[in-house]
Amino acid sequence: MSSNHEDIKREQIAETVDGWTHNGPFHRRPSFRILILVILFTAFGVWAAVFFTDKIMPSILSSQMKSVHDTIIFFTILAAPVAALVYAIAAYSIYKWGHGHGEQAPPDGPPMRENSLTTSIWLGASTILVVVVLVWGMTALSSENQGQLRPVTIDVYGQQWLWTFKYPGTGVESNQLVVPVGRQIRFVVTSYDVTHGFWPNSLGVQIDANPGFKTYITADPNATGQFAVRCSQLCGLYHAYMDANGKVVTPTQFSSWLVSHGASTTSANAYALGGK
Amino acid sequence: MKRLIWGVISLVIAVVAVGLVVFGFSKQQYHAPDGTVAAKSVGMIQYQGKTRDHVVLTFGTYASAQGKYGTMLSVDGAPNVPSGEVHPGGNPQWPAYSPSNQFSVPAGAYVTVVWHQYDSGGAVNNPYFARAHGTVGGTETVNGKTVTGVDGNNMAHTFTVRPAPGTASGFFLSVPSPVSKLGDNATNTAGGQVVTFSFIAGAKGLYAWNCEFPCGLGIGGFGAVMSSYGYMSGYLHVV
Ligand SMILES: [Cu+2]
Ligand SMILES: [Cu+2]
Repeated sequence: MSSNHEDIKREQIAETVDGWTHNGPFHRRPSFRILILVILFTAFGVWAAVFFTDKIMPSILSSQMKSVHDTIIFFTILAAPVAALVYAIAAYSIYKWGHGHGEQAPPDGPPMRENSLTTSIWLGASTILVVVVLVWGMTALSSENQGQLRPVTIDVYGQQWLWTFKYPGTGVESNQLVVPVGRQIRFVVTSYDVTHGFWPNSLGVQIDANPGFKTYITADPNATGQFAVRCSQLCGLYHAYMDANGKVVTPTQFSSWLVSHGASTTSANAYALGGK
Repeated sequence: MKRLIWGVISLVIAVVAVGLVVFGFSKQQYHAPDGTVAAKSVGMIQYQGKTRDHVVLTFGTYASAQGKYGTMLSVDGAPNVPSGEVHPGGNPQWPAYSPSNQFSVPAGAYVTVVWHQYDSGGAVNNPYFARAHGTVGGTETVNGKTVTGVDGNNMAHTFTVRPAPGTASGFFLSVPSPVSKLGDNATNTAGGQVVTFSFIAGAKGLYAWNCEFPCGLGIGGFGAVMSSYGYMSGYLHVV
């Protein structure tokens, strides 16, 4: 290869670049300092992924949301060294190789067209990362729709700019989404007008509400708590206000909530507690 | 070294700027804008063991925002001139809420609404909105008669209020009104129906209201007037 030729070029550049040749023997090459930065930035990225994900995302109220959190954490950890490398080189370059007014710009470095080792590592690492991300993503996605025997079905209607929920068999219709913990919930989603996006955020699922036909999505709530139902498709004037209250409660609380909203005790119990 | 000092200085400036913005937002006071129609105080009232301010809010829905079908009349028969620029532009045949699309009520008050409904209408797409939700007793009155809702095939508009997103207060109010007695020949001055209902105002803050009857054009009836801010949409300021 033309390594000899490149070394000569590098030396010519090195002489003109501050910090390349004037350091002590141990810190001779900037790559060492950049490596230190990469390690520091990666450590920060991994720490941020582990400690911040739970704080900035909606709470975990279902197994689906747990897998969304895990996916975000895992992908952020995978991305941390890549981002760290970019930021480390950028930060080091700005600090060390920036040049002020009147100074001459240093000459461009030699192209690395024939450095097959760099190219292979680059391609190989990218391929591995993308394949891992793809397999993980597909697995997480396919686990979202595994049916369970006798799920609780809830009909979801989107319209400009509100959500309404029907609890079939109980006669209850509400602007509040209440679901029992420990049961699989099957949402049957449609729209009265334009396309909306049904997004009960802490349940970790999301699906479009389309006028004229139904879409289905299941969630498995595994903890009680409050969440928000948002619209995730820009749908007009008050899209920003298309927001409903959601709650995961115990099956007994669910049954009494249905009764307080007009269901008969028999139908509420059959619907909320049945299929155990 | 010089570079480092400048770096630190710009960082400090950035931190101070962001800090000031955050501070400004945290100190922001809530005000209802000009042209807001405030509910009128009529004394105190006992409701569920608590003495509350009793206020009355009056508005109307009319067949034409720009007087095409006559002057919009208020409750006492006086011309109902819209306050503020709430219905600019648009089509003279578009219906509208009047005298404003901005209303204010005191937090926690017992609010009685008197609604003069003059517009035509038709069938609602979602029967849920043909019924009263979130009112005192779950009812409304139509021309003095207490009902839990109106005929979903002959209704005009709804007054549907929800809090700003992210507030888990659970406040929700939706009240339907029947079509004008003149049906499709509705005018701004005759055939009016009087709807009343009461509700307990929520906590201080901005609440958005809109009409859930698809009284516009196009897809789902939510085009034109429904998609033009100010006619069938506005804000309820709880102050
Ligand atoms: Cu929407
Ligand atoms: Cu309307």
